[in-house]
Amino acid sequence: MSEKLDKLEDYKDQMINCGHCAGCSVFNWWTLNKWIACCPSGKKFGFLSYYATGRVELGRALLEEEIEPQDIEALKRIVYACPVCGACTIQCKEFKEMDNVAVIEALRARIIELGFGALPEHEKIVENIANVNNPYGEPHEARFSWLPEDVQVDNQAEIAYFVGCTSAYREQELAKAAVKILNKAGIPFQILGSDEFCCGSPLLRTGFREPAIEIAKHNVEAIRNRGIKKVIFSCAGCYRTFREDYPKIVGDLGFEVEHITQFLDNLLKEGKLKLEKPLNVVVTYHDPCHMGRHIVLSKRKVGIFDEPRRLLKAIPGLTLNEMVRIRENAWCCGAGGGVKSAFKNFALDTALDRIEEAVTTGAEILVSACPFCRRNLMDAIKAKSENLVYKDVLELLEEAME
Amino acid sequence: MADEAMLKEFEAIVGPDRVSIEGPVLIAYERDQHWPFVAPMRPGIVVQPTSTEEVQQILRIANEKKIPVVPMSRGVNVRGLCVPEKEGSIMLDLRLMNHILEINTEMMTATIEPGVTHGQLQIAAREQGCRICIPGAPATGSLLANYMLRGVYHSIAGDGVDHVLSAEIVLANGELLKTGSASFPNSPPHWRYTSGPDFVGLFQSNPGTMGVCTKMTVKLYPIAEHEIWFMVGFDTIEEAISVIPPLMWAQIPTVCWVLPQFTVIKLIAKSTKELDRLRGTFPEFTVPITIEGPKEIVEAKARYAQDIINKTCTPKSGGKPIPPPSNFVKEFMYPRNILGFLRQGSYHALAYWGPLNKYPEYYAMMRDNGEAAGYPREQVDLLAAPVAGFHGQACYYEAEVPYSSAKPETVEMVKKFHFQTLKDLVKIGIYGWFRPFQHPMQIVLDQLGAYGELWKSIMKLVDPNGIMNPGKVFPIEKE
Repeated sequence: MSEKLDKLEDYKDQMINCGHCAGCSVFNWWTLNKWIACCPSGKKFGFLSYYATGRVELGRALLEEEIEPQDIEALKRIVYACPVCGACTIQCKEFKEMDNVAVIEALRARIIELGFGALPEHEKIVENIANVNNPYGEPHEARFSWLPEDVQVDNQAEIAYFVGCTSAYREQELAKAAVKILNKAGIPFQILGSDEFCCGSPLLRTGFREPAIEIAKHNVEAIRNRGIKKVIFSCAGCYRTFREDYPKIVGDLGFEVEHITQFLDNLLKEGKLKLEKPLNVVVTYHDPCHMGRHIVLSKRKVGIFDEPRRLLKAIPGLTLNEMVRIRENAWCCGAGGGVKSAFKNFALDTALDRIEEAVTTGAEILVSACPFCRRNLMDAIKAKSENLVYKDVLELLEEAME
Repeated sequence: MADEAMLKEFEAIVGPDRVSIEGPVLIAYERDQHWPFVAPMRPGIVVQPTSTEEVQQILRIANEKKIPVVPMSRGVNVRGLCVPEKEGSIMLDLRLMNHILEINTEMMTATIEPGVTHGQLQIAAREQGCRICIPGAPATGSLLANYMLRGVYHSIAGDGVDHVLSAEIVLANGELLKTGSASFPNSPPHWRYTSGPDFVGLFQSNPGTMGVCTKMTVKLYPIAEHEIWFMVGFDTIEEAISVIPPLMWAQIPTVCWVLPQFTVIKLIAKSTKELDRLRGTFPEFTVPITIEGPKEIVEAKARYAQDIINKTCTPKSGGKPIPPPSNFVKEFMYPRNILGFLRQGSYHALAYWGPLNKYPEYYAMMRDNGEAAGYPREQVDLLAAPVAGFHGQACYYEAEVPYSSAKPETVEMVKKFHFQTLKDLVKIGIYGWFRPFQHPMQIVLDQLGAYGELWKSIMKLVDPNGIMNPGKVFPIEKE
């Protein structure tokens, strides 16, 4: 089954032909009319090796057996110091049609296959997922401890809400908002309960494919067994993994997947989502990579950029002030790809960059739609003591519903 | 040879995060896409200075130890100019020196560091009501490096080779040289000439082989009040080039190129599929022309240009102006689609200077050479960019053929084409190679006479230990 996951060899010709044009290092200057570096890793670490071009050269060098045993630790440090946000790929795809996200993930998988191991923090995540089905090492039985007692769950519903580990254990306000909105909108839904395991995104993003494959099979089987027709996600990472990675592992899923902002946007269009309570606030919206760029890069090519914005704009009294770096050209929050766990300062610096930009819009609230972005951006707000509040789009929607 | 001791010395200069001898850090610098022509060679150490003073300190150490130094501004030259020729070389990565130090709208100048890109300065300049002379190169490239190598310019056809006013250069021994008015007491850097010789010219067209340029003051130009863009299509090369000199003599165009069909397509295509789809939809040759200035003057010039075109073209050949695609205009302001030249694999460009009137001869020769190397004739392109108003003949030429450096058979094809064409160009006669790099130079070195000898002597005088990017112009002498 895993044969459909890209292998490093699949990209050998493209890696050899990398033109070192540096197009992957700058946001689209035609679109933005500004010259802004797009690679968090290159900006932080500086050397060419930390840009997509450099990692492509490392992939080539690994295939061509240029890596000496004494170089393995440095290789891992460079290859993993990347949130795999895809900003480079959006640019490169325009010219070389090369998918650096896929190359970097395949490179990480090759590193694991060769037995070099990942970074210690990633190894710990693998161990936690193996033991308790979540990367945080929290008890599996506590996965739904956040679920408010007054929320109605319908175990026969055709729609399931996949909570995800970060919302289940760390950012529970987001999960609570999601289920309350569904209840208020009168949408019957079920949860997987003890059958919900980590989606496997932390494993796939860091190269641990074999355990990810097992998890994917488990989750898909659990969903199929319940006769679920549609799964909705409030986590951008889970959504990306189900939508883009799972079909490569298990083939046709047999059910639909939607990010909750897509689902709610459709309800809004159908008049089923009533946002009647005014919220007189100025907000700005951060595009999570996993539901924006990563989807643009897929065959479907349409990222979830408009749906959360339409939902926000539908809230009475709310003003949306946009940042410069948005949509395909959004600056990453800095948490993804295993960076938050293994490179805490790098993750924080990247988020601080985003916070600075958010503040320039005059927004009181920074909004996004991903619990992992939420965690990192909130850490940066705290570190900078900015007079800025973070909220998920779901929290605002729930507030705006009577 | 760079070693642990040098690592410590450099760490003391730039800090521990800006220097490395780790293999995986160095691998990224060991080759560029031109590797079939310039063999990969991993540097021994990479160091990223952030100031002129740090560059001076690094060069003093390198000079004392006689370690080769390879300066790299942005690394986008794609011709192996920043790939070491000697083991253990120091890679002087200047990308962190990326500040625009001044935009002076009174003097119409910008002063920049080597890591500043074309796009970065162009956007900053336009925000202040002026613009740079954009090179025909990706906006991601170093403007300083391009100007030092006398890159070709998209946007000022009448003054298409030199937009440098003065430079600050760290010599191999760490001494600081300022050129032009910057060298004169209490004088700003805004004028190329001073009491003595023109030293900027002496240092140009030397790919890091005469020192490290750490600062440059360049010309800016006003944003035109009004501009007209149009393209004129031709069936024959002879007619396409016939319109150029009279237009240049009359100082009509600010942009004026001669582009074969496929080059136009490469500049506007958004995908590889579109490359194929657009074939056959443009004339054999296209001359894009831009006229800029006050509205009345632009309109008068446009009428004059049309008269010239009408007089020199047959109705069959064309000569009817058409508006260019919008991307094409953008391309001449902030080059981006030029990165799409890499769509077909690797990008091979054989670039040189020569007279316009030899275009048909060059082109025929190249298509013959391409065919002999295994290319379909239509895959061999040659573009020309007139660069001098006074006789309208001096052109930047660029021959282009596709290849994939991942496919040995196409590498052999491109090599065969390349080396034969170099020889044939010298036979036909050209003004010189653009951006000297080793193979083109090697076939003419023994024919340069006193010019070549003096050039070598000057290099020896400036860099007696031969540490500055050795082997990129003259072959490395055996020790």
